[in-house]
Amino acid sequence: MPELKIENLHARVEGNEILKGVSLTVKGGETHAIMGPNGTGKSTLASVVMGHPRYEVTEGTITLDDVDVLKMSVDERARAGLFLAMQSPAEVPGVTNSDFIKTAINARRSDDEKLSLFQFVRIYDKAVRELKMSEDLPHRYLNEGFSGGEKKRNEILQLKMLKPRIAILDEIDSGLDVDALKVVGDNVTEMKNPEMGMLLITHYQRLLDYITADTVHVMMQGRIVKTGGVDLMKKIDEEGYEWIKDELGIEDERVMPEEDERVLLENCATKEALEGK
Amino acid sequence: MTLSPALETLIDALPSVVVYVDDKLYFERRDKAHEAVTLSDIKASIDSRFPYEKDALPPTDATTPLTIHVPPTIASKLPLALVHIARDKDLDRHVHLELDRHAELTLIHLVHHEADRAVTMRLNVLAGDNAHLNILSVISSEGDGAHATRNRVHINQHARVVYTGGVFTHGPTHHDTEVTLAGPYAENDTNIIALTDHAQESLINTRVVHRAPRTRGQIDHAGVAADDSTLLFEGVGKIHKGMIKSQAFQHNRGVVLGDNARLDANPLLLIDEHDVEAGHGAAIGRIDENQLYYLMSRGMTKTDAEKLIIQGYLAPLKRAIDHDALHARLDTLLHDKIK
Repeated sequence: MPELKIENLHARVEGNEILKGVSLTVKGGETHAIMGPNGTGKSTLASVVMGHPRYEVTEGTITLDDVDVLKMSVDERARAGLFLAMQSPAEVPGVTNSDFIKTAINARRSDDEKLSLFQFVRIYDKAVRELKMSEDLPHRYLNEGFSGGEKKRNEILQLKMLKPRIAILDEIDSGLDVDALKVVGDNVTEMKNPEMGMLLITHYQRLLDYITADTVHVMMQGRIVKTGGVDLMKKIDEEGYEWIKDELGIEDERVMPEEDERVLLENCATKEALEGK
Repeated sequence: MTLSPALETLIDALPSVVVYVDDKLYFERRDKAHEAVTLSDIKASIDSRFPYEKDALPPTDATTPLTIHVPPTIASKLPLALVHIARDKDLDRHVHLELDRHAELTLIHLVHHEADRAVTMRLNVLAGDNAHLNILSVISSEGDGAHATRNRVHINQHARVVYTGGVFTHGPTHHDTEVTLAGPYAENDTNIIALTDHAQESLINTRVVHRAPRTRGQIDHAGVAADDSTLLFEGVGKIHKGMIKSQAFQHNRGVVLGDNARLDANPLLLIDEHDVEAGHGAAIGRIDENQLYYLMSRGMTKTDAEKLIIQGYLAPLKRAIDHDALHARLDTLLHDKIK
């Protein structure tokens, strides 16, 4: 059973400290949600675990099954079983989506285990159908011209096909309408198993209607300030985050300038529309 | 005489193919679809029909001519492959390709330098009224022999020529294309993909001249410069006065791999008419860090991720003609250049 252990993690970007002592353990079969307002360091945590070159870890440890993750390069982390569904995945012109995913799958297999084109196409087509994605997807260039929702589904497509041991989904709900969210939620829920631990990052409770989490962590000022279960989730949904700030005496929950975490207008608009109903 | 195994595999897989070694016919297998197309060594009389291309004529008798003629209304989607191999001597070849009105042709033109042979390939294209021509040219070399391509393309009214070129040479290379949009609604797309390595110096020139109203020209240059090589793109879109509603666009993109490699683009738009659309863009630099991070986060090593990103630059060549053996050949040529 996999175990991702983060202890007292501090990280900075361009001289600014964003993570100020995050501790968290995710085991196989568990689903954790990290919630919190924008700009509190949630996505930074995801990027630091994956090894984005922009961030510098200054203190603390990350281990996967007691192996030091911080010593690994990005690709070594992926092959060890870490997966990050990204908020804004890069566009790669000229590289077709199917070539990309096939290369990614074969990168973690030994020479005699590599998938043939036929084997690959079979599982790829099945995953594309289950995610209700368009049929021309295999031939389209990676993320180029994809809508926000298509990019998110494509991240989940990779999750399904790469079968990681620890999956981190960063704001996978943003840019998805309610129907798409249900499809993504069903697919992710179906993947739950003791051999995979999951970490969901979101600032709305909405995602958790579709993917059930066992544990909820609230992040503010680059730290986890509160951890709880279903009750905590409900309270955040009803009352927001102000009461937590009051309880802990936090005035400004943010650790970084606004532009570092983009607010997606469509997301907020959907939330408002739902509230209006 | 034998061909290199890689070329032989490709030639075997092509349905309709004519191979010249040096300037002699070596092998021919033509599909029924191309029965009406004539190939001859007649020097075409081209002076009156190429009013703008003074240098389109064979300059000396030393160049050996090949004339390809597609009669009116003859059309086929099946590609015809023309292969030129320089073996026992340096090659200076002159190909005259003429499509009559309403004719359509898809042509794969493979030019291969064996050992250190040098090649000069002069291609004149005359696309008659309403003709459609799709050319994919792939230039490869084994050694460091010099390469020169000189294309002169004349497009009449309502005709369309798409020229896609992959330049995989190792020696000094000059790839020069001049397109004349001679009749209203004439259209041209010229896409050149070039790779340079070691101390190679390559120059890619493309000029599209609008000599009729309502014409459209699009130039796309893409390239990868590795090691200590230099790759230069020069694109010119020229719209003459009175050629209203014409469109001249140009895009240059490329990746610089070596610390001492250079890749420059000099796009030019020369426009003497107000009522037109024109523009150019460029994206040239090192491999994008975000793309690398994304691919590596899926488990690919840095080297494999870089290879995949660079392979993306071949996409226009693969899109030009859908043919598995040809695509495999393009991948081999790429991996041979970028190790």
